[in-house]
Amino acid sequence: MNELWGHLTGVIIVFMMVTFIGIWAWAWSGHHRRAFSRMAQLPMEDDAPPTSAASTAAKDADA
Amino acid sequence: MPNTEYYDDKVVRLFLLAAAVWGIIGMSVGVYAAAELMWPALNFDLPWLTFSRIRPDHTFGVIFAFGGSALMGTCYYVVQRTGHTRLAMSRLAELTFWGWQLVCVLAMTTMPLGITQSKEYAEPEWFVDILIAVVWVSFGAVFFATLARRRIRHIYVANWYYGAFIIAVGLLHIVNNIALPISLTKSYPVYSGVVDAMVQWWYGHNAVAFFLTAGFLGMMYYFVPRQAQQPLWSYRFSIVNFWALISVYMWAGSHHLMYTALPDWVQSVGMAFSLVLLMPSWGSAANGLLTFNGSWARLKTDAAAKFMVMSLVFYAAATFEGSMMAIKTVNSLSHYTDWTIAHVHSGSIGWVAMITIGSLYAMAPRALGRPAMYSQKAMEVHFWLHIMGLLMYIGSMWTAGVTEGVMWRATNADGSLTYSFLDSLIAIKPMYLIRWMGGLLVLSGMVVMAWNLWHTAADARARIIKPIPVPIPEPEPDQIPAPIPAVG
Amino acid sequence: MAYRHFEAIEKNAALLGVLTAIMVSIGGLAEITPLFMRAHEVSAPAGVKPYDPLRLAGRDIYVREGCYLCHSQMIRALRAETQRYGHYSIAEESVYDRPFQWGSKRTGPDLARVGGKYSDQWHVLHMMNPRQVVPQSNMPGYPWLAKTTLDASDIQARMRGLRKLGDPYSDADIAGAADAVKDKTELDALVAYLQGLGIRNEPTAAVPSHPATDGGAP
Repeated sequence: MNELWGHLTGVIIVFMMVTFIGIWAWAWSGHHRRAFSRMAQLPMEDDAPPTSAASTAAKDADA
Repeated sequence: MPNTEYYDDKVVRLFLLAAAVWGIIGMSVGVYAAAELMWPALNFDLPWLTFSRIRPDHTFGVIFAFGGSALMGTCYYVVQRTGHTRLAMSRLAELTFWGWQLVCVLAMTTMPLGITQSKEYAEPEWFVDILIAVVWVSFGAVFFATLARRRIRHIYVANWYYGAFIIAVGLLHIVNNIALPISLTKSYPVYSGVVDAMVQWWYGHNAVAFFLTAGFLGMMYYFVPRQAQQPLWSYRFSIVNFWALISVYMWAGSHHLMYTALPDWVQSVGMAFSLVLLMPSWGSAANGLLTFNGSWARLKTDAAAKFMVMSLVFYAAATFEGSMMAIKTVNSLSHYTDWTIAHVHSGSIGWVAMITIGSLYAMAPRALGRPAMYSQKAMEVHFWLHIMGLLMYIGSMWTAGVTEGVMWRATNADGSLTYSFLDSLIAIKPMYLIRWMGGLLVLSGMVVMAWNLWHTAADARARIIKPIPVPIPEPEPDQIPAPIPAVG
Repeated sequence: MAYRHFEAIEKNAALLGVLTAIMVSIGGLAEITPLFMRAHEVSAPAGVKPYDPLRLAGRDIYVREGCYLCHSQMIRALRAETQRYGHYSIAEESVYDRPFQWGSKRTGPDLARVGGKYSDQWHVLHMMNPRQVVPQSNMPGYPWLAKTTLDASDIQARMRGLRKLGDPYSDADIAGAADAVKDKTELDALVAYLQGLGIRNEPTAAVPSHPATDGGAP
C-alpha cells in the first residue's frame, strides 16, 4: 500500500473517532434529555397492550 | 371538524396477511430443500423441483417475501404511531403492497425455471430487479413523506433504523444488479471476477446488515418498549448505536471472502471492522433486553414478549458468532461448511423470525381491532415449536459444520489427507435428518400463527373494523410551531 | 389537509436521510474503489482467452442450474485446500466470469480445478444420475440437460453482449459459434465447461503475485 493510502486511512480513522465521540457528547448533553424522555414514551401511547387478563376475557367472549 | 384523521391500517393488515402466507411458503420450500439433501431422488428429475433451483426460492421467500412484507407492514404502522399522523400517499402505499407481492410472485416463479442471475441473495433476473427498484423507491417516498407530515417534532429512533434500511437496501440493490440484458431471461453483470465478487458480497453482507438487522432493529425499538410497557432502557444509547452500526457494518463485507483471491488488505480491514461491529450489535441487544427490566414477570403470561426476549438473546449470540467467524483462523475452518448455515439460521430463525413474530403478535390485535390475539395458548404452542425447531436446526448444523471443517483439514502422519470429501458427507448425513425435523417444527409453528391470525382477523374479514383516530398531541414547549389543537 | 408548519421539520428528516446515506457509503466505497482501479491490471492475463462458444454455453447452464449453491470455485490459500484441490485460485483466473461463481458453501467438492480429473463419460453418467458413479452422493440428477440442444443464435447474441462489456471476442469468433455448438446438447456444453475448469483459464505463465499464506492450523 502506498504512502498516500496510509495517510488517508489515518485521516479516516481520526474523522470517524471524532464523529463517534461527537455523537456520544450530543446524545448525552443535558439539553436533549427532556425531548428524549418524551420520545421514549411514544411506543406506549398506541394503546394498552393485551394483558393476560384482557386476553382471557377476549377468549371467553369468543368461546 | 375536518382535522380529525385516522391511521391508515388497511395496508398494514394486507402486509400482515402477506407475511403470514409468505412465511409458510418460504419455510415450506426450505423444508423441502432440506429433505432433498438427504433424499436426492426427491427432485423426481424435474428441473424446477431440484435443490439448486429451489434454494433461491427459500432464501428469497423468507428474506424478501416474508421478512420484506413484515418490515414494510410494521414500518407503515410504526411511522404513523410515532409521528401521530396518517400515512402519506395512501394510494401509493397500497401500490407498494401490490407491487411487492408482484415482485415476490415473479421472483418465486421465475427462479425455479432457471431464470436467475446466480448471485447469492440477488438471484432474480433484470426485469424483476427493475420492478424491485421501482417499488422500493415508492416505499421510500411513502415513508419519508409520512415522516415529513409528522406531528411529533423529533423522529423516533425506530424510524431512523427503518430509514437507513430503506436507503441502504435501495443503494445496494441498484449497484449490485447493474447488468446488460441479452434477452428477457438472461443478463450478464457488468462486473466480472474479483470485482463482481467484492460487489456481490458488499451487497450480500449489507443485505444482512440493513435488511435483516437495521430493518428488524426498527421493529425492535418500537415493539419491545410497547410490549414491555416501559420506555427504552436508554434512548440516547440507541442513537449512538444507530450511527455506530450503520457506519461500521459496510466495512465488514469482505469477511465473506477470506483466503480467496481478494487482496489481503481488504480481507484484513473486513476482519477488523467485523470485530468492532460487535459493540453496536451488543449495544442494541442490551438496550432491548434491559428494557424488560422490571417487567420480567410479563414473560410468564405474554408469549409475544417471550418471542422478543429470545430474539434479542439470539441476536446477541449470532452477532458474537459472526464476529468470531470473521477472524481469519476461525474462518479457515468454518467457511464453506454447514457452520455458516447454522450461523445464518441462528440469525434468521432466532433473531429475525422471532422479533417479527413477536412484533406481529403485538401489532395484529391493534391493527385488527381486537383486544388480544384469538388464542394465547396457540401463541404459547408456537413459541415452543419455534424454539425446539431452532435448537435442533442450529445444533445439528453446528455439529455438521465443525465435523466437515475438521475432516477437510485432517492429515495423516505422512502429511496426506485423511478423509475424502465423500467421507465428510457420509459423516454428516444424520445431522441433515435432524435439521430437516427442526425445520419442520419451525414451519408447523408458522401454521399455528397463521391459524391464530386468521381467527383474530374475524372483524377485518367481516369488514366491520373501526379505524383508529390519530391522537392529536398535547402542546409541547419545544414543538415549533404549535400542534393542531385537539378536537372533541 | 394542509399542514403548513411541517416545512421546517421536513428538513430534519431529509438531513437524517442524507447523513445516513453518507455514512453507509463510506465503507463500501473505501473497499470497492481500489479494486475497480486494480481491475485494469488484472484484466489481461497472458494466455487466458474468453470462453469459447461451447464452454460459454456450458457456463451459462452452470449458472442457470444454480451449481454455485453447493460447489465453490475458489481454492483458498490454505494447505489442506491446495492438497485436496490443487493450486490456490488467483484473481486472474476469473476475469471472464460474469457472474463470478466462487460460491460460499461446499455441499459438494470445489470445482475450480475439476477439469481433466474425470473422463467426459464419467461426467455424463454423473450428471444423468450421480449415484451411478458415486453411490453415496446426495447430488440431484440433471437428466434434462441431455434432452435440449443448443441454440446457436442465442449463443451468438450472448457473445455480442459480452463483447460490449469488454470481453475480446472477434467477429470470426462469433461467426464460428454456429458450427461450434451445432447438434450439441446442454449436457455436452456443461461437460466441456467443467473439463476446462482450472486448465483453460489458467494463465500460461502462472506466477502467483503473492505466496500462499498458511491458515495457522494445518
